[in-house]
Amino acid sequence: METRKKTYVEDMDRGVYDIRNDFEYSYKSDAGLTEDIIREIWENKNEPEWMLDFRLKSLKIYNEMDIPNWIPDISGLDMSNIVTYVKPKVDMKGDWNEVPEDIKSTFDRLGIPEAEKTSLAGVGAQYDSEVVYHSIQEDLVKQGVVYTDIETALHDYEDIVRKYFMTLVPPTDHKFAALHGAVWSGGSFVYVPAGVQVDIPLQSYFRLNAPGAGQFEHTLIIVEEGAKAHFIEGCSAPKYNVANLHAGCVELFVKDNATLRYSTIENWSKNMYNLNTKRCVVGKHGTIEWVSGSFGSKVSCLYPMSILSGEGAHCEFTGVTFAGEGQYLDTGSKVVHAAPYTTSNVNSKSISKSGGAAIYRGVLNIGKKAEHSKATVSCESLMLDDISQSDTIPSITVENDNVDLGHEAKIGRISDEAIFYLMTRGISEEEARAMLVRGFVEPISKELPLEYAVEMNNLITLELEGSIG
Amino acid sequence: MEKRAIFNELPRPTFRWLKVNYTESQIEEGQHPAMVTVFSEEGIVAPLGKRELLKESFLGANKESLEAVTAHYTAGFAVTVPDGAHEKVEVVIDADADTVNEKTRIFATVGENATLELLYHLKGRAESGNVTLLTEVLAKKQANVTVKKVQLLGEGVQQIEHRYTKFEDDSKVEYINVELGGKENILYYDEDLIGERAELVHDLAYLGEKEQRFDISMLMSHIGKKTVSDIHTLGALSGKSKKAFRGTLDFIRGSVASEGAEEDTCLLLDPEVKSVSLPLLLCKEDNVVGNHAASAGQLDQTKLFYLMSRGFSESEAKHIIVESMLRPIIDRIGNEDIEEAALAAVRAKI
Repeated sequence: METRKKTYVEDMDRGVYDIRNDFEYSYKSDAGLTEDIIREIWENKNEPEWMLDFRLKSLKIYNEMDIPNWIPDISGLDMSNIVTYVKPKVDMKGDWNEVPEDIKSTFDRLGIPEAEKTSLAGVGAQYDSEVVYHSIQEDLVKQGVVYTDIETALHDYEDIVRKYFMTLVPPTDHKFAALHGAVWSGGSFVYVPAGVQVDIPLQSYFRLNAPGAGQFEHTLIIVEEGAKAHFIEGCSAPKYNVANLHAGCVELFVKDNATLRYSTIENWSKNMYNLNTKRCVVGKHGTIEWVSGSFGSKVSCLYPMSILSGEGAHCEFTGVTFAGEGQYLDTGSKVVHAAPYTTSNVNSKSISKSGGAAIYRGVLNIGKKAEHSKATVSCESLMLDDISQSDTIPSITVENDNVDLGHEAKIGRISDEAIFYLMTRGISEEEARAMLVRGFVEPISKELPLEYAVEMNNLITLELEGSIG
Repeated sequence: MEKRAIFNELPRPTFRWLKVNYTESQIEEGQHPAMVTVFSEEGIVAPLGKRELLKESFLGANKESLEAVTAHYTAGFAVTVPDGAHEKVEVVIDADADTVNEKTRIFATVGENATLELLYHLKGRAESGNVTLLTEVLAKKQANVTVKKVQLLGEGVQQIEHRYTKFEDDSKVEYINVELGGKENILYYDEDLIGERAELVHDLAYLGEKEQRFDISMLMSHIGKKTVSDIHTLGALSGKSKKAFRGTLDFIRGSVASEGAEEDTCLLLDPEVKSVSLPLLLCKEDNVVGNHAASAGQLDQTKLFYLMSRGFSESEAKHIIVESMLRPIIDRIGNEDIEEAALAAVRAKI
């Protein structure tokens, strides 16, 4: 009998991401989660009094809430071993030359300063629990655009931060939102005034270097009426033998007629528990566009949520998940249509291989008020071997009669017919298979910023030696 | 205080705030058993006696309800079709008392190369109570089984159905449901496609009005190689009626070259209806094809406009569209009297 060789798809080459620096810091909290630790973080960060109250209330909620029964196994995560706050040895700078050499070279390897020169309007770089570098183009400052670390915003724009902070993702949302509320540190604050168009992207990069630590950055973006912005978020960490935790929180406020594109490439190391929460509320005729790539971490729970609260609001979600050996990536999207004439398109792709599990978990709720709404969801999964797992778990609720809704999902392997067709056009079998695998993720990669699309192509290296399946 | 219980639990739970992982309700109580009549050739149907469940781990829609119908059924029959035989069995459950308490259990064993056509007709003037139906089907090698069900119970009656099917090699099972009556209909179908090349087709039509509820759970476990499942739920909701569909296509490792498809289509006729759809696809085998689709929407305005341009009133046009959607499934019942009764119920409800 002929032995069919399986396509071997390499794990991501993580060389650049796995280079770790010596663990140096100016301050770090004890491991675990107690009221004393929360007070220490608060004192260290010199925050207003109301934030201490907020943190302590969040801690109380965290202690009272149970872990959701539907999430993947996170028994390897022991909060008593997690260091929730690690202050790097440097304060925030506006010049890369002032950033210590080892930290700077980390971001150099990740290509951040270079991208800043060529294609970004502003850059933020977080190292462990604090932002170490921030910059924004002068002309944007003149137009009133604010892009800074959230600690600075908490002092300079306290009223705005207080008005919005954790109102969209309240600590009562789930246990890890409560955890975030208690120990959050770092993150970005973006404010785009009404009518201002920020055409060049702003980018924040989050790097966790400390072993056994948690990163809890908070990103707050407010795009006022008629304004436009593109925000890029990148995340990575070197691999350690101990569990690390990422429980960030992203709150996006897109006002009437405003547009925000939020692009993310998550490439955490495979010892990371990535329990992140992202949410956006969109006003009348506003648009939120999510572009999301999930490649790293041991366990991920990530479901960006769009609440279409204004008439005619629109959401576009494009996501790709690549789960390799030892990874359980439970990702998806949540869309709530809460106003008339709202529209949404969700397009998700996943690949699983070498025993990895790629799960799509989605929500589409069309409420009583969302008449004349339209929604489409498309999920496609590709399994590259018979030891992996690929599940689709969507929930669709419709509560009025005047809607148009379509949901489709497919799981399978590469189609023999497609290969045959390509071969009849003179393409070799191996090249045909390569084309089909690359073509599978192409609709997503074309939505990514150029440098991230290149990064993704580098991440997924295909070695074809025979047939898939 | 009423006792709330969990029904139709999702095999893989999702976000708790959605409140869709299961349905909470209570088992209604009634007084009198229904009149259950079985029509068949001699020697095919026998009293069931005491019998263990075909699948020990079968969960059913609800544990308490399943235990009650398994051990304390009011009518229980064993249907046995010998190898190579072709049989038809009709079961009429007539809930004729004001308040019904019926628990019917049918255990069907269909021999190798045999054919069974089993027709359920649920009806009656009962205004309250509960009708519970447990059907277990063992489809042996190359068996061909069709189970058709037309449910026209009174609008105050709760219906709970548990069904389990075990497929051997090359067996084919076709299920057709026409669910029109009842106040609350909780339906649970568990299909184990164990044998190679086993095939399942399940078409379920429903029509909800007033406060009616349809809670449908289907679990298709592809275990054997080259197994095929194709399920389709199709219905319309009016008034304040609600439908929840939980369909799970589960490709177990080793179910090489299997194919599964599930589709949930719901037509929404009034602003206060609610449709919930959870079409799950679970996959641990790479060499399979799995598809699911769900759609919900209002009446096709082009069709409505066309019919009205031909002289029909809006109400008549809606009648025609809804009836034409359900009719292809009703027409497959194959019993003219029951088909007529179903169509009359459809017309009365729209």
